[in-house]
Amino acid sequence: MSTVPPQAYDQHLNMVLGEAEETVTTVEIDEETYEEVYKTTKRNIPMLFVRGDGVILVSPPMRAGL
Amino acid sequence: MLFYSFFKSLVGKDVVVELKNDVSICGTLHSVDQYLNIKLTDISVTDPDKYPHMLSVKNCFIRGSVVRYVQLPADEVDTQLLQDAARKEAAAQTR
Repeated sequence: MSTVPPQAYDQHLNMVLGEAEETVTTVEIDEETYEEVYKTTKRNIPMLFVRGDGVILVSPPMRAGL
Repeated sequence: MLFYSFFKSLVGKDVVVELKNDVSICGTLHSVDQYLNIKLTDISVTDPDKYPHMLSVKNCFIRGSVVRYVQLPADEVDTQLLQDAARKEAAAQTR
């Protein structure tokens, strides 16, 4: 996720993002209670190339109040 | 062709390539081709515990299709040039 518009993209959805923030979400299932535990880890990368074949969804930023 | 030219302009710079199998490799960008296959020289591993031990490997060839991310030095990227090129590429695509 980046709050800066993509520096570049192409028809394959390859992209270069500035000020990117990556959020990794994992689900662990407790063996005893069987409840789902969601964990997230984040990291910031100043300039990132993303290969398009990994892209599933691109959406506009959420505006406050909507 | 846009990103092929973009990567050619970054040959000689240090990058970190993260693969789809979660391995992260830091190295100097030696060359790139039209498929965005990457050759890195003088490689070292970045995140501990997230990679196999490649102590004896100095240079490597990475198939473009297994790349997830390439972390780039922000100050080596001419963002204005990149945005202009992307705009032209997008316009050429819609035609």
